[in-house]
Amino acid sequence: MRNRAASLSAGMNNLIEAIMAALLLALVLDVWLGVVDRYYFHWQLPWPEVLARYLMIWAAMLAVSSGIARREHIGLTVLLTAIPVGVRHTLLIVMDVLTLALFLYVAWFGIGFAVGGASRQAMIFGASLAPFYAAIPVAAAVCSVQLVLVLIRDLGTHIDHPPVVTNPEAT
Amino acid sequence: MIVAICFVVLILCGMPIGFAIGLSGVVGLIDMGGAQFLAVGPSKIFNGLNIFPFLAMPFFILAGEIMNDIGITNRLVKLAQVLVGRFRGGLAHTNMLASVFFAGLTGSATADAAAFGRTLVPAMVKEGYKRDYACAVTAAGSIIGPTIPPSGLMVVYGSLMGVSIAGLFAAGILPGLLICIVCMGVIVIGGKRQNLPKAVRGASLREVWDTFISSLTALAMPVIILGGILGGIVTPTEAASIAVAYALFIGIFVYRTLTFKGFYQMLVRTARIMGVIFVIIAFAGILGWWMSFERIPQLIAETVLGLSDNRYAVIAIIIGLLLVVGMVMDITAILIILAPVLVPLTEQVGLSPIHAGIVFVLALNISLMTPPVGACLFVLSSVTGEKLERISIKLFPFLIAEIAILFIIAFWEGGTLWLPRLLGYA
Repeated sequence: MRNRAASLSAGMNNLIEAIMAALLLALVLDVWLGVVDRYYFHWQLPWPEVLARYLMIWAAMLAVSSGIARREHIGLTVLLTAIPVGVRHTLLIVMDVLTLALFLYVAWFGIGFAVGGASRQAMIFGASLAPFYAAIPVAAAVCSVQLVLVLIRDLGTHIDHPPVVTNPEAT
Repeated sequence: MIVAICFVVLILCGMPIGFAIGLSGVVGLIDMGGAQFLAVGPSKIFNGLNIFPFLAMPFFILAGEIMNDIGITNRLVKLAQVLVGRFRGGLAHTNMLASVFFAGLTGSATADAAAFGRTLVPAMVKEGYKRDYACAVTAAGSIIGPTIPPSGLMVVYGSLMGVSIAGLFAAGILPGLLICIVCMGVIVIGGKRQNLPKAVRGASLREVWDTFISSLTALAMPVIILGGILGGIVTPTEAASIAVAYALFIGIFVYRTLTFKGFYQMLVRTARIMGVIFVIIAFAGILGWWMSFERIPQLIAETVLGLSDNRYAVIAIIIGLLLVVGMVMDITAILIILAPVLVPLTEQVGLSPIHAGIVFVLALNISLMTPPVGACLFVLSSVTGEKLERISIKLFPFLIAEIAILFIIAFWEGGTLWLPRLLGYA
């Protein structure tokens, strides 16, 4: 069960990291286009800056799930190491469950937020804001799934035994 | 009160700071008026991130990743070594000076600590330095990185508080150089007592020139970034994107060491660092909204001013608060949570936003090397295998010196704002 969760978590994380890299590359190219436009072509394109912000939000929000898979999010662990192992593991499981509740909340209310964006127009080729607002519920849903998988994988042991890096290509 | 208790309990129980901020914010929303407020959470998250200047951060991180990967670090260390390696404690001085050169590339203290922990610390130990001392010197120098621009913390502060990032960058140069000079002074003072090794011979002028020429490609990077921004030619985000283009050009066409696979890894690493930082910013959008609603910044300002309305006393209280909180919390999270709370206070005692920003950034950078949560200490300890407490003991004189610089910067407005004023930012 735990091995199955670990391999599912790693597979999902590899896919998400590939998407993150693609989004970041698109972000780099988009901002370069904005710079070249402003200083050379003078087309006065209105969308590169707006698109850049939305690409950044998508990339950053998806990257949160990668941090969850790798247990990279920063926390205070000094005090945890001073308590008995059993209590520590239980506490860390409770923290994972509470974090899961947080992301489920964001995913649930984020759907309404994204749907609300459908009636508002972005400054990008007349598109609505829905696909950009969708970064919040989609990323929160991905984080929720990833949290369930790492919860099963680690069962509160991740401070004592940090998880093995899931994608050797990106250590 | 319930929000503060929730936040502290979650942090103490080991929940990552970003998530603890998020959950506390949600508790705040419920406390404000029940479930009807819960629907605003996602929009606060989105709006918290939807700020254009934030874009500079991933670009600076990516440029630093590329420059690091293609071997720039070694060239900068070599340059520092031929310049100051001849003195007693030459490699310790080299470490400090290399941190200044490195600062123009990455703006990350932990990147500096990791890079020099792997390269300079073993070299220093091999030459006869004690490992704990070598680590302490590296830790002390590492905070020069995020003090001299580009600096991720300055981007976050400027974006959140609507302060000129270029002005902050200009104001960061003097404190960064001061840290280097004063820490070199600490090395000189302790040099004989520590019996630090001395180079057998100094580098010839020819060697200095050749090394300088071979480092030019690396040294040009901060010139491009700072020259463009401070000259008012480009925005920080544009400068950061140009830095990425420059680093790619050097890696592909000059050094020819950059591969597609390597670049993919750098993109993923950059996005992951973004994720770790931006989740804090995102959830702080909810907590920040709750704090504004409850008038928390005004309450704190009134409380502190009730203790004293003396400008210097208030600044000292703020510095003390930042240093103490910095001992136990991540500095980006502190900046995101406390800057909106403390800035109204600094305004009331007449501190300009740029001056306040530099004080915040410098205080938080110093807390990167204070136990128990000093990130640079952890990095050095894990990279070199040296015990954290041994590094902390050797670090003490440097820490005192850097706190003294912090107070000088905080109280000496004329000096701190000299360059920003000269360039028209303050």
